Amino acid sequence: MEILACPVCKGELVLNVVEENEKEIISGTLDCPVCKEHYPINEGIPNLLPPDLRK
Amino acid sequence: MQTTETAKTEKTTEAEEAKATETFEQHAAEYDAWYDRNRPVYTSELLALKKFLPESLKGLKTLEIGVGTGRFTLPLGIGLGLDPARPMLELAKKRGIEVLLGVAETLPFKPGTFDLVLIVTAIAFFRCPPGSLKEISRILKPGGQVVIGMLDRESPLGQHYESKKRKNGFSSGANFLAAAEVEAYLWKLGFERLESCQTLSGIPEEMNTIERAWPGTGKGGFAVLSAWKGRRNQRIQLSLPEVSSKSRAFGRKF
Repeated sequence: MEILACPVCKGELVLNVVEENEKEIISGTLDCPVCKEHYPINEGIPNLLPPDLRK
Repeated sequence: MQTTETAKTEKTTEAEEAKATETFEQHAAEYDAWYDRNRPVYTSELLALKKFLPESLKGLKTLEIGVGTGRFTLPLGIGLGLDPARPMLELAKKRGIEVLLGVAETLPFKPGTFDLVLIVTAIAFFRCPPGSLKEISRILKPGGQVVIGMLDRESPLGQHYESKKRKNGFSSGANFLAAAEVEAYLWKLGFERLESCQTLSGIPEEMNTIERAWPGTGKGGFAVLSAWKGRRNQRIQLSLPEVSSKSRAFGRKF
């Protein structure tokens, strides 16, 4: 988490946990307050594709 | 001449990249199984990569870009993998690798994060290789290392794949580069201590024995480049004549 940055503006991301276990965060979002983007975490995999490449 | 070529490449690569991601998404398991069927190729490539990797990566922050199913990640001891194709990442995650979705052109990491960045065959699928290498320089610590394993377009095998590329398969979305071209990008970006080696002198599917890597590029199908980011950040002022205007604008953001 401490190494991650917004792929667009390279700013800090704010973690928002929806579901987690003792090992990892299963679902949630990584939010960029500058770009107003929410990068989803699904099934333990954060999606930090820039918004135009995200499906 | 070079500018025209770059412009042409850029127009086609966006569609090609989308196609490549799609191909990887459909055929993650098939891609992965290729390495089991072609063990001597896989081992020769691993040995060539190891030539430039530190003996132990313990305590180092490491990243593989274009991690795929994690075939190279685990045996080489890399800790984290990035890739744009989710089904591939799911396989890599099952292997115990920490993974995230992302692309090389806009890396989701803070500056000066990694000691080592590895790229194996993935550079042919980058939309903008020079812009991506600049991003890699950004996320490397001063004195950090980049190791690039790639199909060398200038090698006999590279020429063979290049001519077959229009047909279906994993190479259909690829934009194969010459190892010498990537070396030039690295040099222009101010990377230091450039070294190279090569392996695979024949057709991979016909290889029965493991081949030992030898220095240089241009003959072996699989080339490995190693370069180090300088300890002072003085280099990025260098002009990049081959880079398209789009990439230059992209680079200025950082």
